[in-house]
Amino acid sequence: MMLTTLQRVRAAWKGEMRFPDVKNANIPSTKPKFLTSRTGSASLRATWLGHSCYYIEFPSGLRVLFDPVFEDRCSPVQWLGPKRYTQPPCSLSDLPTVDAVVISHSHYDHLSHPSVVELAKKNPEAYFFVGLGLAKWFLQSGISKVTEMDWWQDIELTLQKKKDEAQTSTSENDDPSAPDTITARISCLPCQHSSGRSNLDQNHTLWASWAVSSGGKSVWFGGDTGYRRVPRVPPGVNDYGPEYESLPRCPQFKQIGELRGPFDLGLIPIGAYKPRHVFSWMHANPYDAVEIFKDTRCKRAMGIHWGTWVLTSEDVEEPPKLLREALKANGLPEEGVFDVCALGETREF
Amino acid sequence: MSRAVTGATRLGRFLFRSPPSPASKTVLRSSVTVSGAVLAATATTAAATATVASMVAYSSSVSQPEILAGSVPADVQDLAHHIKDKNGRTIRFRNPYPSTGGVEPMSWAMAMDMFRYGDGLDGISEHDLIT
Repeated sequence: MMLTTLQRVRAAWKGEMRFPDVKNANIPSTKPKFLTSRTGSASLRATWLGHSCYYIEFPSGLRVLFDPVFEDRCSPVQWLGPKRYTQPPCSLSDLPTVDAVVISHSHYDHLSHPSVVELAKKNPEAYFFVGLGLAKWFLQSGISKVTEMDWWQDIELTLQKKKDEAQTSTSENDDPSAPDTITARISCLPCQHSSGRSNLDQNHTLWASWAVSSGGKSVWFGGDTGYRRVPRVPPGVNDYGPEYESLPRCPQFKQIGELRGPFDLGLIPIGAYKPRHVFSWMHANPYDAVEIFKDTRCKRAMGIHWGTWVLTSEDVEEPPKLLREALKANGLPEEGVFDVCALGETREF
Repeated sequence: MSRAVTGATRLGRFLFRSPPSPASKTVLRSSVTVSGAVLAATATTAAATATVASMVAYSSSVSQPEILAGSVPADVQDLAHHIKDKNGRTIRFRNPYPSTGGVEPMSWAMAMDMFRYGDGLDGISEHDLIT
């Protein structure tokens, strides 16, 4: 991490960390339309709420939120640090029920103190799932329903309809067909990244990808990950060319695919990757993302980790374009397999 | 001298400059194409009033974390991603595979060399860098 920081500073000093123009950025946004009942759809519904935040409605009735950050800046303070160039498509208070909140790691663009505190207040039954070492931070924030997990560990989450609700609910908003019990399996899985909220806690807590399955549908959440580290490559040269074929790839995604896959939906990072020789080890570019998609055996995927904050120097609209190029290069359809969507848009799987 | 000023200016610009925030309270309307689908995009920066329903309430419980499903990779029991102190207590974590290229924990001296010489350290292994 320290090396990356130094490399980042050095790249900025040399003018390699240019600041992409966001004035004319055209990241589409639409008003989210969530289900009004737990049993409103037989499909898995996934709504992008910006960067790596996705709200997932399982057909079982389970509602899961990944990496919620609704603040303007992903930073320890709100007067310095990366600032949003796209607004969240809705506020936290607009979200329906949340049963589980899954956090990939402690970096500020994935874990926000105000957001998780507000979520816990609004959803007192919601469980928070985090990597090893991070539960203490939640407990200190007043959130007690937190479970920390190591890679390859699983838990069973059980939701039981409250007795008084089951017997007396007559409100027109209540759903009489809501099941008495909803179960889910949540798995903490590896990825290649780092963690830290200051210079004093670098890698003190575990980073992870996650799998959630419930009612016969499954999601793999990549969170934030690299795939392989590439050296400085001449401009215009693709680092997936034959001369770079021997660079080691992270084997954990193949392990995930073989041991936990396939998944109905993968949420896979595609942004924050330039300069590549600085960020490739920790941030996948779209070419890496397609390899991860294949390794993890996801049937479909949506791109995350783009379109919200400028964290690195690629053009803000480049990731979706490069994703299509990478899909084509891999002989995959450019649409309908691994897509991006508008902020607030819901896709069904 | 001028190189130093230019470098410092670039660094400062990167660290402190933030993109302009879209005007709050403004409603933006645009018709855009995303993956072939034309969306009439309406972004209200202040509040996108999503439909919120009061759903049936549930109480929740979780089991203890454990390895439940199927097999796991052979090296998982080694906990190679844990960095432990002499008492066997995990104090930090690491990426256990060479696909990071060895860019993790390192000494300040290495860091300064990296800053001075750049790619000259690309071949160094992670173990060489751990202090």
